[in-house]
Amino acid sequence: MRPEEYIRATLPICLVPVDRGSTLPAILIAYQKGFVVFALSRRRILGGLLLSLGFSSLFAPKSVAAARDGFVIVNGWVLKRSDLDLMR
Amino acid sequence: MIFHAGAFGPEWFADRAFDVCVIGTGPAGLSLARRLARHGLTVALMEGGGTELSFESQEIYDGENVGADYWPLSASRRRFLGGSSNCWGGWCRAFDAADFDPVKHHPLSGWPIGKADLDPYAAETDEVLDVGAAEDMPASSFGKDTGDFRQIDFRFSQERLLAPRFMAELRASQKIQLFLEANLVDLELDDRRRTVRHAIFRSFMRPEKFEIQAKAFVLCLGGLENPRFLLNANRQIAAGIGNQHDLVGRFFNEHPHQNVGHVLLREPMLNREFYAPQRHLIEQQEILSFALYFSPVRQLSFTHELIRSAACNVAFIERLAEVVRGTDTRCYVGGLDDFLKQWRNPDIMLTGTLSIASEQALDRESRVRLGDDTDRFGMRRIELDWRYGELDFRTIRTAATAFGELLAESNVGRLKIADWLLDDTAVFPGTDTAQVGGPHHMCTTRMSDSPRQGVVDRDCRVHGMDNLFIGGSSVFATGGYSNPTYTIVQLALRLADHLAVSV
Repeated sequence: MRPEEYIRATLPICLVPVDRGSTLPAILIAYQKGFVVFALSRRRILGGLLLSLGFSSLFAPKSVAAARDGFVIVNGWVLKRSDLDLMR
Repeated sequence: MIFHAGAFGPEWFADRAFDVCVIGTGPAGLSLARRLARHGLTVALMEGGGTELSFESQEIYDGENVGADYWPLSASRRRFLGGSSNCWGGWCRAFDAADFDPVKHHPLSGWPIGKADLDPYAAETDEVLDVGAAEDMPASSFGKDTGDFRQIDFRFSQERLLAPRFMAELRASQKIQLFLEANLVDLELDDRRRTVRHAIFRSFMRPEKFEIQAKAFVLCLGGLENPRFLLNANRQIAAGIGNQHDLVGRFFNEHPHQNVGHVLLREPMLNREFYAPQRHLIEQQEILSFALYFSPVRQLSFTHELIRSAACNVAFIERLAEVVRGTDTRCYVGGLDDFLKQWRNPDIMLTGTLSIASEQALDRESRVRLGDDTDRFGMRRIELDWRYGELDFRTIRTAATAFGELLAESNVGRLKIADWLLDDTAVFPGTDTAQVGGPHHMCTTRMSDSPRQGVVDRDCRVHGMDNLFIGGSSVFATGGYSNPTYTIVQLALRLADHLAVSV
């Protein structure tokens, strides 16, 4: 994922990854655009977004028949519940 | 022998009588006529069109769709020698044994015959449709544990156009007389209204009608035209022939064909794979049967994959997170590594789609009826009121969800269910974006031992008639999920054997 894409989220606080070598350009671009920049791991960014925005609003499961125990349908994706833990 | 009906006057036909008059030259009519001839019976084989597509013949198929979005009625079939084999995709699969069984949550389901009644005709059906022996199925992406599903296969006709293959045989036949441009316009019944005395035809060239005399008559006009003709044949029976219980044209059945999602694959896949539900899934979820087409798609380009590599060179779970959030859909597929894999083996694909061909529930209100417009012969044209319901929609949604669970559980990939399938409005995508149906026209003169539940009996004889029979998918009691042509031919060959001993 390119640094610009994190900035494109138009958050007042910009979270950039530290794990793929894109930290410095992302920080520079974000700083130029007036963001307050926090450098976090990508997993923590996603987890933080989920927590801050609320899981239900970001991942609004739609009602689908026969989604059995151990599975969840998130934005149309049929996932294992353990997928969610790994994504955080 | 082959004749153009318009070349002769009515008197020319008056002196001729046949054992069987077969009306229609599609897969049912052709295979029926050939087997009857081998039994030594004389056959009048009647084709409304000529040897090629023509406007004057094809426009007779025009009609109106008044129900669910569906293909134009003249576009989904062909009215010339060979019938709709001229627009056939070549997919072949015999019905499963379970397709003939009643299903408790599917009212009226169940055939009066079983798979064992049709299996003896498999070898000749293979020959008629030019389909070779089954090849080994590709290894399943799921290994041996396919969960609620079973891997199935389809076979494909090598030469889908039947008429050119059989033309020389028809010309040389001493038993079959093929009449081109012979359009069926009526049947003359005896005083009891139980026996067809003769069939009445018109050619395009002459205004006068001519008659064909035979001991038995078989309508092989297709799933829309069979009921259309019976309903139009109301000169002696006001409701139409065979329609004493208002069943002709009802239960119009399709195989809804829809894309139900796309798949983020963990590893590339090589071949298209087909799956059908295990019986327990159908019973537990109270759904119908279906075939899922799990297909690899998309060729990769070096430039795009180079860019994608920089953006998407992350673990599967991270790609998944991105696409689930919808923040970066580029990483569904590809990357330089994947491009190189595909470069080394062009057959592999890195993303998949999931589509379905589903069985449809029997619905009396899904039907062929007659409109007010008439064709050049005065026959009223069709209004097709195709309907689907909650069970049809739930079947597809459950199929997609259960297969998505299998993909996730086995870690083969993850399925994104198509948006339309998650929408509570339960409307299938229309012809502007989807295949919609086979087009497969089925069940409109369905088979049942009871004249109150079907138009033909187990021998394809119209209830209440002594010598009128029907061939083709209109006699299917239920549609199953398999493409119908193979079963159409099996039924026609079986009918030939019945006629050989009863005529």
